[in-house]
Amino acid sequence: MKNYYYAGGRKIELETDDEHVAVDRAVAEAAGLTASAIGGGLPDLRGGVALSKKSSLGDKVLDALHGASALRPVFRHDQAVLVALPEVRVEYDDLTQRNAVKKLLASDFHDAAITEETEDRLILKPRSGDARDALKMANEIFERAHPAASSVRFVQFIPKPGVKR
Amino acid sequence: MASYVALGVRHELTLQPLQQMVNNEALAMTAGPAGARMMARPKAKSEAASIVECIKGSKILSARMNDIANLTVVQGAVAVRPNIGARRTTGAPISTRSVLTLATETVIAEGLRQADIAATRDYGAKIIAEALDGKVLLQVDSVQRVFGLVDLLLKREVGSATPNFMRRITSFKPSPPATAWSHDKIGLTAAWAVTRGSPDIRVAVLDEGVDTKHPSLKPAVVAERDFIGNNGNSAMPSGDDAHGTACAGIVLSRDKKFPGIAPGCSLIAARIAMGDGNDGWIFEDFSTADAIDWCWRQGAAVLSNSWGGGAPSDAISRAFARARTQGRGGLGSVVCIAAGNAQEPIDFPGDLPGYLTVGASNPKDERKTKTSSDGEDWWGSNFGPTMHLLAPGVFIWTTDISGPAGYETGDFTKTFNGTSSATPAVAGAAALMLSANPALSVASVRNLLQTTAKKIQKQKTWTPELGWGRLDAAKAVQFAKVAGAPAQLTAPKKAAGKKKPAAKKPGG
Repeated sequence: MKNYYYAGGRKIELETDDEHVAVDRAVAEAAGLTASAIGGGLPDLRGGVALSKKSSLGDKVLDALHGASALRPVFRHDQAVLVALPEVRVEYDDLTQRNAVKKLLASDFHDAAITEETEDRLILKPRSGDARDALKMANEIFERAHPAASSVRFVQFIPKPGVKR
Repeated sequence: MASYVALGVRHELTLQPLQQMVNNEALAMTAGPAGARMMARPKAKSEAASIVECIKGSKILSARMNDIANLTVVQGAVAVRPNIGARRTTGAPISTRSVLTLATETVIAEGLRQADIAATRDYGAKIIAEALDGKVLLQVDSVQRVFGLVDLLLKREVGSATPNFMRRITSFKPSPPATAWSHDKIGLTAAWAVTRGSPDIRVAVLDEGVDTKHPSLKPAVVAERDFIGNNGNSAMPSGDDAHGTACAGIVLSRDKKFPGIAPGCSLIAARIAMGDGNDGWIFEDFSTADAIDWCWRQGAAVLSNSWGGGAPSDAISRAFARARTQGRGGLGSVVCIAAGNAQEPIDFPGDLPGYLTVGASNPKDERKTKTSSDGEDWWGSNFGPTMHLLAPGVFIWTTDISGPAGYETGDFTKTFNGTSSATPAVAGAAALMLSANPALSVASVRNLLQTTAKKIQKQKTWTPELGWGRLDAAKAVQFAKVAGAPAQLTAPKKAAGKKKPAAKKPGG
């Protein structure tokens, strides 16, 4: 089954990016993998994720990162490379939407924790820490509870907007 | 002075040795019948040397001169065949930056009789080549004597006689205009007669950071924050990430030579992205959405977004919607979004309906395309159903990161471009409109920009490529100031306002 998410009420398909890997630095370092081994030269991102070309990391490092659950899924959409983070943002337009989401979470989403909540939105994290689980949760919440928005948190890598020759 | 006949008209010429032009490094400007025009000027000795070397390498070309060191550049103007619908012009330069015309010591003649050949021999000319259809090539001992030979033959009514020029044709690389053309084009002087911007009107620039310590921007900064890096309450960019600094300068630089469009307004700088060191941009949907929300909650009346092209995001779309509906105490913040530079359909977030999606135009009031007359053939303005209007997007003067970092080694650049530069132009105009009339709703600003936009390229109405036309800041601000009175609620008519000379089409 293809990966997707929702934007503007439409399914946006995601291609799997086999060229890159996204590394959760904190998880990797907690597992004893050094920064240099996981791409220390890359910029630090919010969420502590670094993107690296798969070819620049050896099989041994990749296996270690995988074993430590430090890899995040990487997708492509048009020119953008997207790294999914294990976090879901749900937004409501009204109380009806909010109640529908809360009811769904209470009945079917025991494997997720609400980390932030305001009147018009909440942030949810899968207990597994797996971004693919977050992607599934976001889609399921949108399809079953119909809030205004429900999406996994993405970091995007796009071409610079300037038009230098 | 030499002269020759082209298209039935005699044209005066000046001749200048190629080497002399190089040695003098003179910028040859002539004020001939065609007016002042930039003429050909080899920039460096190596350029002249390369021409000489090239000619020496060809037996045919080198045979056209007794001494290649005497190569001469021809300057002057020749009549132009007017294009259909084009205004008549008096002439075009013979040598330009892209076509360098070099005189030789030879003349092309046709239809010579024995008596004509004898006359040329008496003049000191010799036939050095004969070709098809009775063409002959005659050579004299100097470039100057070429024109006398042509006159002699024409007086004898030969079939034809014309100087044999060599032409060095190069690809045209456009140079930035000598002035900040975009300000004149959108009628900024007239807009400034109404207002140069109020400090109460805050414009947010969401980008890869802004050099908020830049001397021309620092006085305008009222709030700044980093949403992607670790700079906290600073929106300073890293390295050569100069895009946001250039965008901010277009809105509100306070420099006298490089002024922004609304220099009296205030700046909110939000860093939402950063370069990856490899021509890429990194940003994050949630943080960007938070930045948008932070900006309008900080009181941003206008949000300038010169970015896009990623995957669509509801978090971002909804934050824009909140800015538009809840900003400025419910009047709405004006959200300007770049259309993109791939000459393709507009992508996210410029494809969101209801905002000010901005495309780019050039100094000749053409939509910027890969084939428009500005010569920047590597990019074109995107198009689509959400296009609202165009604004200048080529050779834009603005701020650069102060010091050696950024696009230039100094504090400013004259060549910023793209819909990235057109978008803050509209943001600046919107800021002036709100400075003139803070009670305007976001819908009114949008409508006024629509109805006052100058129709270009013979458009009659909105098109996906041109939107409603090119930004006319003068009219937009003038109408904004009086908007709200019952008589002003109707759309301004085409004839309203006097046409500014700067808004005329070049060459007209």
